[in-house]
Amino acid sequence: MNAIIQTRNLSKSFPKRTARNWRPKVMSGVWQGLLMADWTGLRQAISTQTTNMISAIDDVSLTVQEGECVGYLGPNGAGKSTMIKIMTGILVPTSGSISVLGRTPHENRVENARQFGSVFGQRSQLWWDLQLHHSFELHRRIYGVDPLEFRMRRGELIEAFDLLDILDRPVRLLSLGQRMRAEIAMALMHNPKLLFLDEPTIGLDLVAKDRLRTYVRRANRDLAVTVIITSHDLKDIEEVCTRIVVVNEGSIVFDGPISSITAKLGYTKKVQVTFDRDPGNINLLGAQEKNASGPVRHFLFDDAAPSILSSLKSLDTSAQLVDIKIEDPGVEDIIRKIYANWST
Amino acid sequence: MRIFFVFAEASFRVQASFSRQVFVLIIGALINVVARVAIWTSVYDEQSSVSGVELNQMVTYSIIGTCLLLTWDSGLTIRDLGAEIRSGHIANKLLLPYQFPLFSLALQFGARVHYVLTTGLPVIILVSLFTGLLPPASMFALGLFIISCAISFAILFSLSTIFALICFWLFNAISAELMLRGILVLLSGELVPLWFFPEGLARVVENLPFCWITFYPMAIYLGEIDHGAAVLTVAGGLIWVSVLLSILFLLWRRICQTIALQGG
Repeated sequence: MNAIIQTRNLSKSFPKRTARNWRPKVMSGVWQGLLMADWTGLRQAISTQTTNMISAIDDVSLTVQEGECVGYLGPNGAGKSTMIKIMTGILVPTSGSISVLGRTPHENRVENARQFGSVFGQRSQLWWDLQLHHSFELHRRIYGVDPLEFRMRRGELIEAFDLLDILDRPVRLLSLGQRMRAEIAMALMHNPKLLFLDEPTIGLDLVAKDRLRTYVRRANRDLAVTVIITSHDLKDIEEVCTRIVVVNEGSIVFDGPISSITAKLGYTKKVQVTFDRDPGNINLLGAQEKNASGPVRHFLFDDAAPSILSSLKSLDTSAQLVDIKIEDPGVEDIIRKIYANWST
Repeated sequence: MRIFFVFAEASFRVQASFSRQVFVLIIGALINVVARVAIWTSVYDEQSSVSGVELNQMVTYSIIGTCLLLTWDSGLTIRDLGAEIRSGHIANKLLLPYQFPLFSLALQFGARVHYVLTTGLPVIILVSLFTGLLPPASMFALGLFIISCAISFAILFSLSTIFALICFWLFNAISAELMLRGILVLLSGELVPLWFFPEGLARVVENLPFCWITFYPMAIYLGEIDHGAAVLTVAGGLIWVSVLLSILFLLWRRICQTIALQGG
């Protein structure tokens, strides 16, 4: 397997300017600057704004192999979109190195753009006022795809994404779900090796989300397209991706297969115990209690705890056990846990 | 170059998809032309010639200048691009496998071709039925006029893209739009030809790129510039085209290095 994306100590920071208040100190700064011929000091003194650098990506080293499907995940403002923009070459990193499809993306933006597809959920790449099939045809000519090869691929994608009935409709008249299907189909039409999806399911209803996930999975498995997907919807990631990268404040905090995130972060089982009445204060060995009142109690068991059953057996309460539910926590619970830890 | 025409065609199709707008555009252009012809007729007030320019030349100048060598669409470009920069939708255009400045030029070119075919030419034909439209001074003048039209488009479209790109710093297109519009109305000769400018001002303006947009092509068409000077004028226009395109691409390179895309 070859690395299709490789970053080394990649960082990106943006200047953030804040207006400065005019203070009496300014005058003394100006005098001092003039008297000492300190031009930098003078400029700082009369400048009406101060500039701070805000770091959006901080020292990220990441390797993605060909054929992988990677979920890139993090809370708002964690630097996800910035990362995708750097990978696509439309933003220039502040430091570090990056190679996508064997080239530096911002120096070879046009060449790279021919080989990847991208869908930004909040923005459309289709020609808004034209019928959908015109967008596809223009796409073919812009990407210089051979007409015969294109016709086959177009046929496959139209069938897979269920677009036959809407081909003659102007894009502005499509529903959001229809449009997103068309966006992803178009992004795949020039046979890209790599597909960037930035919040592809944003604003879609449950059924449309489900279908979209199926299509993306199919593109990854059947067409061998490497997929990088950012999403707030953890189900997107859970159902589509094989690997997950969690970022916060520009740094990677987790990188590995989805199955290992539960193990790595400790919580493996979620247990709901129902009593016939409020058992009062109880203590379960090796478990963490989530809510401590009422007849229905929730506990989290981590790996190191003794077995759940023996722990329940040793429960010291007069209340009778009515029901026990044991479930594996979803990625969602775990990520929520991570986010909550960050914000405190 | 192939992709340039793909984008131009796309832009043409977008315009063509609003078929009903054509009638409105024609009415707008008609009012514009009739108003200008009426103004020049009353300015001449029974005199056959002012500053060596005859009334029927001025009428021809107004008609073709308004329908073919117009400048108002540059404001639309700045406004559209400015809005895309502000919302961050520009990112999508940057993901295309093509140089963005050329993409912008292609869009403007396609829209202009659509305008000329559906609005400009019909209005010229319609108006010329009622007023005397002069033919080109000679075949040679016609040839140079056609080349001048290409130069006119190239200068106008690169100017509007340059002004639109300034929005990356201003994040507000209106100021850039108003500024360019003011400059163009006055200095391109669209409203008043350079012949009627005060001597000193005319000396300055005739060397700026703006008058290649409307004034020089029309002066060549009417035969007001003799053959030798006309060829030199066209050469000067080509130099301005290359200068403006260079500025555009340098500006673009600089923006690519420092760009901040809005809207997450």
